[in-house]
Amino acid sequence: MNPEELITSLVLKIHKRNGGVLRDFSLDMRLMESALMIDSLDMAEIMVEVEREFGISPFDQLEPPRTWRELIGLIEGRE
Amino acid sequence: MEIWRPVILEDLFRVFERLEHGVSVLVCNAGDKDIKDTPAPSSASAGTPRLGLYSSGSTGEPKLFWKDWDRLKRGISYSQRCNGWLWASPFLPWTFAGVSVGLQAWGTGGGILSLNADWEEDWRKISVYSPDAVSATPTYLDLLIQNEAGAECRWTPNHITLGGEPLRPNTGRRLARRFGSVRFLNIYAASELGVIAKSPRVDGWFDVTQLAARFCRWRIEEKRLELFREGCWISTGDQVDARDGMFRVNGRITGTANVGGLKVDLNRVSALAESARGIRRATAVATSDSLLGQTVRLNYEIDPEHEEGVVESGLKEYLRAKLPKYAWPRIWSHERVEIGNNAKRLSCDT
Repeated sequence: MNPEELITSLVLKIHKRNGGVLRDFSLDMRLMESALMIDSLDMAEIMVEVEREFGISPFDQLEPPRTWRELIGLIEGRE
Repeated sequence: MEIWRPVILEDLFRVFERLEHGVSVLVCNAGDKDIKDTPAPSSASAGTPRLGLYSSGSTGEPKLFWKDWDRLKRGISYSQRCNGWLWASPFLPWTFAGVSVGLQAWGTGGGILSLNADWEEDWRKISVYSPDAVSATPTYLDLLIQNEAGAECRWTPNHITLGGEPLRPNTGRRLARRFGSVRFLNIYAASELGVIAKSPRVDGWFDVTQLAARFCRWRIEEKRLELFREGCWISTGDQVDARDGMFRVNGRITGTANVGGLKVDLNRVSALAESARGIRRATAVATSDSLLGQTVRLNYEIDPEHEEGVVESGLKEYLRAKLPKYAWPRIWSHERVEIGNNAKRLSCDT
């Protein structure tokens, strides 16, 4: 699964678990945009999967990503 | 004695006024309806009221602490510079950290502003009130600046106090870069011990002379920090690194995880997991996490008589129903659990 597919899948899974109804979202959204209904605990869960899948810890970088597109770019830049 | 259930930090000012009038006060979580009326133990000084707080302390288990009001007030830092400041903080009013920042604001004739990690709302409040100082965990502040885009103001306080969890170097670097010339104060404290050390550094390191200034003896053995008080050694429950006259807190030793400033009883998570259908053995451990400081990893072994996929999905649902969200394991590891030295549990990945 490529980074965009994994990230999108994770975000929507957690969004739905938290009672959300979105079926898609813009990658230019901020990581914890209120519409996504994702809190810091959910974010940690996503980052664990990212680290496990791609071997990168996004929040250990000096410039952590602010949007989902930046996160995907960070992962793709490392691959 | 009175029992108060403050909802926001601002409510603490009324608690402090009661203490000033000589009334001992027990401060509880507004959601704890089972707190029983517990008489305050005798004060060290006659006529001195006491403030009672529940805290997980170094064990992760809730414990009631009583503190002399006069002694608490001696912890207020007075300086012309910070008189009348408006302090902002996400700390809860029934915690030691919340009381500390509330007391600092109250004692210096200032105000207090409650924040709550609703980033849009928190930035709105900051834009409107422009607090002079903030007291928060490093994680909260790191996330606050991460969600700054769209904020109406470029806010720079005069002072930042950090505490509640270890300060990781990269987090410190980001905070220092964002807040430039702001004065930082990183505080290492525990409910039962009070302030242990303070440092203006943003890399998480403290000078060991800070320990000597507060405790007649201290020691670090096998990375465990212990302090000598009232005739006995007290373990802080923290794992530390030490070098060149400095020390740094890495996290809890065992038994509890510090997830974004909230303590998780790992033994309880393990016990709950083992009570889930199809789980033979389970061990919850703390593992470092770049976002939350620590997170919970659950290593588990499935009874071979059960279907693996069914058990795993059932286990996750079960724990998520039983535990608060911050205690949910974020790493799930199906592995073989073995008995090691002295019959203690070992685990290894399959």
